[in-house]
Amino acid sequence: MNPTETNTSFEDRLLTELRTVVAERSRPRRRKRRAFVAVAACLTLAAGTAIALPLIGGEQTTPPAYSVTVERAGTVTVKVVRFEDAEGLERDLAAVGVAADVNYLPVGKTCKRTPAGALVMSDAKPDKNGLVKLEPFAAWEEHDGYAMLVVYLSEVKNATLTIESTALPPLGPDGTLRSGLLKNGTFGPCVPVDA
Amino acid sequence: MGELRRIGHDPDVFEVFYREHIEKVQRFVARRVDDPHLVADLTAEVFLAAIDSADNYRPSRGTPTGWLYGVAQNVVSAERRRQVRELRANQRISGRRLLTPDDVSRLEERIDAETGARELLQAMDELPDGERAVLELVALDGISPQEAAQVLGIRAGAARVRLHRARMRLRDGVPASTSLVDLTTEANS
Repeated sequence: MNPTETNTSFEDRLLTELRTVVAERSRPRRRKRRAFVAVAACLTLAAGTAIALPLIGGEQTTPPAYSVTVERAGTVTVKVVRFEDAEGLERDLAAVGVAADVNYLPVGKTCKRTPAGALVMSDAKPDKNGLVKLEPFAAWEEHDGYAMLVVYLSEVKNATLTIESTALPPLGPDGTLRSGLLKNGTFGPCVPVDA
Repeated sequence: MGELRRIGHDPDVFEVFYREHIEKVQRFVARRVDDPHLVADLTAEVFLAAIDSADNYRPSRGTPTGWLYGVAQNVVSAERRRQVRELRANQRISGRRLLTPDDVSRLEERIDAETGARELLQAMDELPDGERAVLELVALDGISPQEAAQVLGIRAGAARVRLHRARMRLRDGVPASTSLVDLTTEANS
């Protein structure tokens, strides 16, 4: 568009172009699904290059039960769609440097550990931008159809990420999504007991 | 609130959102950039980024305006990091291409009106990035500390602590000016 040929303002011309962008986005497209393997992520991490490689578990013929994604900012994002293959999730987390103990429990149950274990909190160190992560460690985010957890790699040294959940969003009145970080060597295995 | 997530899919919904926020976005950019052509480019980029990321918006993370300020801050930060060449190379809409001489004059007036804000920004150069980020949003853009916390993804208490520290640092170490005193007083309120 030649702006000198119109009587409209910059704001109007920009709106026209942006409306076109939105209209083009709203047209249906074929979606491609891409899968990556854990080994590739490990090699990528070791090389210190990029990033955002999803490790997808579960059966190949249905949407993956979970994904583990290493992000550029030194974080690992876990998305859980279905409670399947807890051991696979543990393996994929270990492959990117996160020791994990994953327990999918029936509603009304919780983990009892003997010994109970020492909780590790965020060390609250500023990042390169001076920002301090103050939120409680590893809080689940509830999304449509899945739950998401962001783990800072700098916070999981010498510790194990514990995932103890009974439901996925929508949680319902009795559903729970729990996670924590226990110091290695201070806790026993999860034994399901009444909550 | 649910309408915002549709701005990337429905041109009419987007237009309502755009008309409500275009002036705020232009002012946000003009407080930080003194070139009208760059203001036009970055304004276009802010709305393109909003279109691309609206699906991820959650009301629990703040108001639509606060969320848009977060998008705008990311775009301006990319400019500061000198990534703008890459940004322009991939830009689907060149804002400056849409400018007439009259538009440039009008944007220059807007930029002139924000001179005090940019002077304050220069004074903030001595602040740590975290404190500066909160003070920018509260003192320059006029949003509440709670909204600033949501934009930055930190707790409201942390935002207030940063505001307090920023105000103390500015009063202790930065030469006073009228606009600076006014704005730091506002930030303390």
